[in-house]
Amino acid sequence: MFVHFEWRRCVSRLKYRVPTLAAILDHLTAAPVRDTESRALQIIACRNRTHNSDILLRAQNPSGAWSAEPNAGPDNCFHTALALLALKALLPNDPMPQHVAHAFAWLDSIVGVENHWLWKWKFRYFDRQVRFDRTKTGWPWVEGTVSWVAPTAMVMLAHRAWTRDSLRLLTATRMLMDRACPQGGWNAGNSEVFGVALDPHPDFTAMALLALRGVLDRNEAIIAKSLDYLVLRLMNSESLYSLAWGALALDAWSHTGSVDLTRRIRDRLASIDPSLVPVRALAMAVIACEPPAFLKHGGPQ
Amino acid sequence: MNRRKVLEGGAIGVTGAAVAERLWPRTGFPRRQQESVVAILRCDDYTTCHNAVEDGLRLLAPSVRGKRVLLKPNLVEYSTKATINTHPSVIAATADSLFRLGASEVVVAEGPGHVRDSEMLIEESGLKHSLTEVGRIRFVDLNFDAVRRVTPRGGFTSFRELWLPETVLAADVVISMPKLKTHHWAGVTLSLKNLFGCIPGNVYGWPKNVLHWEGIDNSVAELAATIPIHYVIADGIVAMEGNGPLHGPSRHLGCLVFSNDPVASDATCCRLMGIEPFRVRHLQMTAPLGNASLARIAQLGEPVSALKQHFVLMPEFRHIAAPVHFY
Repeated sequence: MFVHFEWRRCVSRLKYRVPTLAAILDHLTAAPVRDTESRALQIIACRNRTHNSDILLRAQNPSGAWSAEPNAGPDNCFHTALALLALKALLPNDPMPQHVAHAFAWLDSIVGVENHWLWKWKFRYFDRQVRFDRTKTGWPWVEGTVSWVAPTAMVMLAHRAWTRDSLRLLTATRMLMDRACPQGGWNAGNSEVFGVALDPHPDFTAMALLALRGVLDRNEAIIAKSLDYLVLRLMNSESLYSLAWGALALDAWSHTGSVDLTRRIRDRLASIDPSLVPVRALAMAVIACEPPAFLKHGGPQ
Repeated sequence: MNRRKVLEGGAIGVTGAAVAERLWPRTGFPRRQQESVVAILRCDDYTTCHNAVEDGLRLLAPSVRGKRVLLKPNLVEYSTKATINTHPSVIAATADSLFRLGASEVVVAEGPGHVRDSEMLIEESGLKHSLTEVGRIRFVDLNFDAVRRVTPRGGFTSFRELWLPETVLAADVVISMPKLKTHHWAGVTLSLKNLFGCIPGNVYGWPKNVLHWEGIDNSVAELAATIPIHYVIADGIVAMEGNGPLHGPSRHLGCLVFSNDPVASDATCCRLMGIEPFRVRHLQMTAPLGNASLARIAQLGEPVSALKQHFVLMPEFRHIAAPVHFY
């Protein structure tokens, strides 16, 4: 009797949810999109429905990079990496198309300014209130600024997705480890300012954890503390965007907490009006429910 | 006159021109001619701020009838340990009062400098709940808003262009709503520094590091010359001292500050915090945009002396403290 009841409840849930996710995907596929992040996430979320990469390729700048919006703003490492991930989702078997190689060549040319001898000197002797190791460098958001967690993590993910190697991945890994918050997790990239530890944030933490999967061991203190932080921080959160990043990261590290987060995302998706949710949050929620190979546990490392 | 003197003269001339080009405001620098109004209203806690906001707006008499008004609060990140953000009650009370004054639309807009997930921030800080209670108010995440290219008007930075949110540029009236705080890089963070939240993170990243590389004070001045702030409503009920904008202890100041001039408002807020405004670099730089001098401010409500305190400052900013008089 008990088993029968559970079985019926599960079937009723499936009946309720499968069409819901499909409806969300219908909405997402047709949703108008302006910026590169939303476009890239939309493509990854709807990768099994759409196969057209033209709209993304048209937005690529002559430098090889992508900006936040087509023809708006400076070349941006974060958006370039996201666009590369979206292209991988569309072209999983293509070894390395020319526009992808062009984008990677641009990323190779961009480095955080802390790598310059003059600024190394400045950070060593004068500008010492922010604790960070200036020899460990990753990627900045835009040229002419220092390295930050999100662009570095996304560029590392893009390299992994396209199975591209680079000597810079090693220093980028060290940079992410250096910028981790003492209590676990990551924020934008300042772990300690004026001697005070700053708080981590779930999305930056998840990006860094995804980038470090396969590089560090699960038992490393940074990883263990950061996974614990994510579970605790998202326990009462309602934000689809952060829940989705958290679920992806926990799943990538085979943490049991991902099951609960994914269930909560599905529950939220079943109860929202998708037209009121930003495309990037909606797309992230779908990606968390159905991660692409390059983001999920057991994917390429 | 020999060749050496000609070369020396040329070098001095070129260097002088380059320095002048950097220091001298370039195009369309909007200088304020008329006197400014500042009103300080006593308000001891957030439960009673609605009345204070209504009274303050009555004194200020902002021209908002039929206009699209943008409220730009200071939302950095949420913490249960510190009073970082403009209090939701003050924002909601302002929006409600503006509707009563005939505003056709009120938008609350912010682009947090540390946080990508604004949904989580407005939820946890209680702002979403407060705005829902008032109704009709849209929250716009300026980090992800559509952007438009703008030519900076101050000449304080090397920016040849800035990409700014459409929502800010399209507003008829911009009201900056800072929290009174000391700041470990800028000395203070008030209505002018609050403009950092208008820089879209989606374009420039988190934090808005391009502004740091141009110099925080230069960037504040550049944004102040480029984005007009029509009015200021500053939350000084519970302020922050010491290691602001995130980790300083709270300081009960018990007032709201209203003004039609951001420079006058920030100068007054400095005086309330026991800080000499002309020693704050970005206030020196933006002084021509408004009136920092007491002689050019029509002071309403409480006098500064009735509420003035001496805020704790970081050692790097002790020089901006106003002298303490012992009588």
